[in-house]
Amino acid sequence: MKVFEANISHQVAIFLNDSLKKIISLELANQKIFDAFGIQCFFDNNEELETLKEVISKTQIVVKEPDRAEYGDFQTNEVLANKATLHLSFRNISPTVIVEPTCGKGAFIIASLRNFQQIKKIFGVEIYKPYVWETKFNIVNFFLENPDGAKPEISIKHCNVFDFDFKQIAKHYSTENILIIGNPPWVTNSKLGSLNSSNLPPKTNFKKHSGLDAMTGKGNFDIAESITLTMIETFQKMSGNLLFLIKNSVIKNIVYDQTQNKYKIASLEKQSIDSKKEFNVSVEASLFYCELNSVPEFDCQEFNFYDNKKSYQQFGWVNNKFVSKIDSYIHKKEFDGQCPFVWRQGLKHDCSTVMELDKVNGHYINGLQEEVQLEDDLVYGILKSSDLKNTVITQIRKFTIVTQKKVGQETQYIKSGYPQTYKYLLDHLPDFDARKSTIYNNKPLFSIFGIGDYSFKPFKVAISGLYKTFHFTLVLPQDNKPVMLDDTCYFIGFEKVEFAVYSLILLNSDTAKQFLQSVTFSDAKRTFTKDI
Amino acid sequence: MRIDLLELAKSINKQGLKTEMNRLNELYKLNLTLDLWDKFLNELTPVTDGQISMFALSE
Repeated sequence: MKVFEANISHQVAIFLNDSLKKIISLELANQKIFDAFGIQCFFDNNEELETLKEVISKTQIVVKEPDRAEYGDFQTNEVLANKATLHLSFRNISPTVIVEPTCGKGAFIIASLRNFQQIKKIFGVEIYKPYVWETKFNIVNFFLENPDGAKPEISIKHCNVFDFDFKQIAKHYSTENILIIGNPPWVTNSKLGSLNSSNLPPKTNFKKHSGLDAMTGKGNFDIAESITLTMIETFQKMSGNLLFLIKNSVIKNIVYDQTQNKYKIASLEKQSIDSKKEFNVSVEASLFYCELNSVPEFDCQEFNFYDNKKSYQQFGWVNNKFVSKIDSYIHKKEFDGQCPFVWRQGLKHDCSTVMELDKVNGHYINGLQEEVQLEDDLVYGILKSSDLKNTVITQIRKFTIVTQKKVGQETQYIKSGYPQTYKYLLDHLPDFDARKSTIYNNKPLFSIFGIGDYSFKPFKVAISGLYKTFHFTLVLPQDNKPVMLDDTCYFIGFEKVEFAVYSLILLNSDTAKQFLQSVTFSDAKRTFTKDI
Repeated sequence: MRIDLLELAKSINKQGLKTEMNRLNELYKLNLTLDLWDKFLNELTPVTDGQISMFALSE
């Protein structure tokens, strides 16, 4: 049965119907619920009271559950929430104040009521009104099933988490033992922005990325990361703990930024869960745990949440280096350093249907299956991550038009020097104009990125940023022209083939592999970047 | 990529390097030698020390 689009159990519906049917005052109704279950302001207004009374007095209404996955909304199941709180309870953690930002249907609130005996106050915040109701109904249901349980004061607020003043809680309950618990949305700011969601933090470059980084991938961040950092910052000086179910990438970022933030958190733990089993999604996620009000720590122990065994590895900062496996890194740390050959990312055009070509019987065919007449000069072979499987590349299957020799170069030269190429590009101008990234704004026509002198070095040693293999590939020129790599690949360019081969052998050695395994994160979107 | 090729080059067994070079030569029909190995090491070696001593001399 559903009321206000929220699930309500038969037991709760009957209870509320019996308790409220004769009550017409909002104050009396709210007092009655508070006395019975500790929930403050159960109804916000008279209309809610009357609607609820009307609906639960009628026949059952079944409404299809809305799919809110696009909002990063993956509700924690009861078993997992219960196990997570029990996990804390076994460590003798017994909070007096519970805060669950983005509390959803209240799984962690119910689990906390079940497993912590000292709770005096619970705060839940949720932007989606049906979930506010469902949390309240679930609390009522819990106390109907557990009538002898201690009843703390409970406040479930219908509010955007970024508008809620958590500092007031930290101030008012500063001497209490707090537990910040929950499962903030697994979604990025750009995704929510595209859905016109209001559940977003104020727009700031909060990671202080510079220019191009802020405009491209690095400007995107997980809402959960923003919420977790807000919670840590707000409550770090209170004694207590934080337990959040978040993506592994978010945990990594929190530990990475800890060297700057120096939050008063310690005993950091990443307890891996099986997201497929728990949420039916393929996202690497874990329970992130830390102790508040501690001397700042900069590393994180990793565990498997289900087996209760000791930590299998540890990641974080070793001196001023961020590493994925501290134990192995310590034995290979002498290889951590810079190299005079600069690693580069391959070229980026965001217009593959026009810019990428196959060669069939000597003719270029684009992604629209059009046969294309071009001068050969601006056409180069190009390799993608999936092409970098062999140790040496001897054949090219794709080609690309390289419109510039460096970023920002004027492209009018194509018109006079390469009229067929210019006509082809101009005919497909709408495809270039449709490129969404702001990096192309106010740039010459047909601009590309990730291009420079280095792109034209004849010999390259390359690796895929996407694949989790530690295998480097030698890229040789084809028909006396250098071969390009796309922006999923990273490479160093050489004038001398010997230098490229020496580098290849060194990079494919067991020592290099062991070192790289100790500094790369297998669950990262890109295992390798030019920084790692 | 934060991997120090010079340290790697110093740590590698020269015989192993030669064997791998021969394997690649054979497999991919290349004809490469280790003749430029020392030049390669020079290229990898930072020149900072030399610059500092030049400034030191001029003082």
